Amino acid sequence: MSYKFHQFQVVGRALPTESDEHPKIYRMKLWATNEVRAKSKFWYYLRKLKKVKKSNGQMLAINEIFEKNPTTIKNYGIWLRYQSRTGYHNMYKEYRDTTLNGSIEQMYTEMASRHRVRHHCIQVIKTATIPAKLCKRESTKQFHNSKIKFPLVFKKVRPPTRKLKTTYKASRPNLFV
Amino acid sequence: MNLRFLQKELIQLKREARLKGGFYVNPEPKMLFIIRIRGINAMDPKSKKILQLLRLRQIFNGVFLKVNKATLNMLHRVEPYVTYGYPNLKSVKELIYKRGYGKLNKQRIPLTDNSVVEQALGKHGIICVEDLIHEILTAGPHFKEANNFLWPFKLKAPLGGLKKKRNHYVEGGDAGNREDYINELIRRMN
Repeated sequence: MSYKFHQFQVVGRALPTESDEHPKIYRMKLWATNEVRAKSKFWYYLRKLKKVKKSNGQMLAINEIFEKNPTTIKNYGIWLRYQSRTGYHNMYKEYRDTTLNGSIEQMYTEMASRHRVRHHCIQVIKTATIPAKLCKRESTKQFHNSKIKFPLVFKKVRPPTRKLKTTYKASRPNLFV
Repeated sequence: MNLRFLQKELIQLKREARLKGGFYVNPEPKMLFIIRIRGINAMDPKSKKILQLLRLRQIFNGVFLKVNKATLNMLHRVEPYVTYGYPNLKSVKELIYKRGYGKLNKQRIPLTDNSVVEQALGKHGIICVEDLIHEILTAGPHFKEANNFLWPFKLKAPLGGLKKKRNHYVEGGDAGNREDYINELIRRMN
């Protein structure tokens, strides 16, 4: 399963000057499709929080953060701030997924479809794994059943990435579940 | 090549720094590869001049460039018209072997033989194509002469296309600094 969004830990600081020999070091965890974009996003946020720009700062480290337990299902709560046509709003969304990156991707696609908000208008404030009893949304709570049963009527056959999508296929797809 | 040794050393230094709870900052790359991605129409005169100075007169022309404050400022000015990044050994080798031409007596001569390189750069100690590649890759003392000897690379339009020329790479487009991803673009354009 390749995810579009990867989580990066970016560490940076302002360049040392005569007045400030050891400037404070800032660390941020953010989501981006690749490292180049992660670095740019880092400077964007840091500019908004502190008086430092890319031109008078330096990047100390950038590491990708990987999911610790990608095989267990977790309930993720995501707090975000997004820009709509009329202003900025905060939102809290819940997703049930195996990895944090997967749930972030779900969030971006859902925001795009439900609210027509594009990726660059969304800022992730916080993410957390929520234990089952603290979940607020019905759509995640409906799966909190150890004896859950629902029929899968047919299997939708999709290529793993959009790149492999073709109009014609060699054989008929098998829809049996 | 001692490139492998340098890479191993880098990893070692990083691990050492992390052990002590500090950071090891990678040295900034000393040279980069620029590709012009916009055509010649509707350009403002200052950017047009800068692209001329960088020898990027045609769309999908590529040149190597040494990194210093002067060139970085030039690049900043023409960012919407070019894409650039840090090529690796494979990119440099492929570019020079496949699309390498040298400037001899103001003529564009293909690098078919080491004698072509020796004739132009012999006096700087670069006598073969491998020497040339090493000089370019490591931005050696005669980078300027070696780079100037190389005619600007005429690359083909990228297979698979560009994402969106009008936007910066960071915004999902193609212009500007894309660091190591330039290698992937060079594979498609070579």
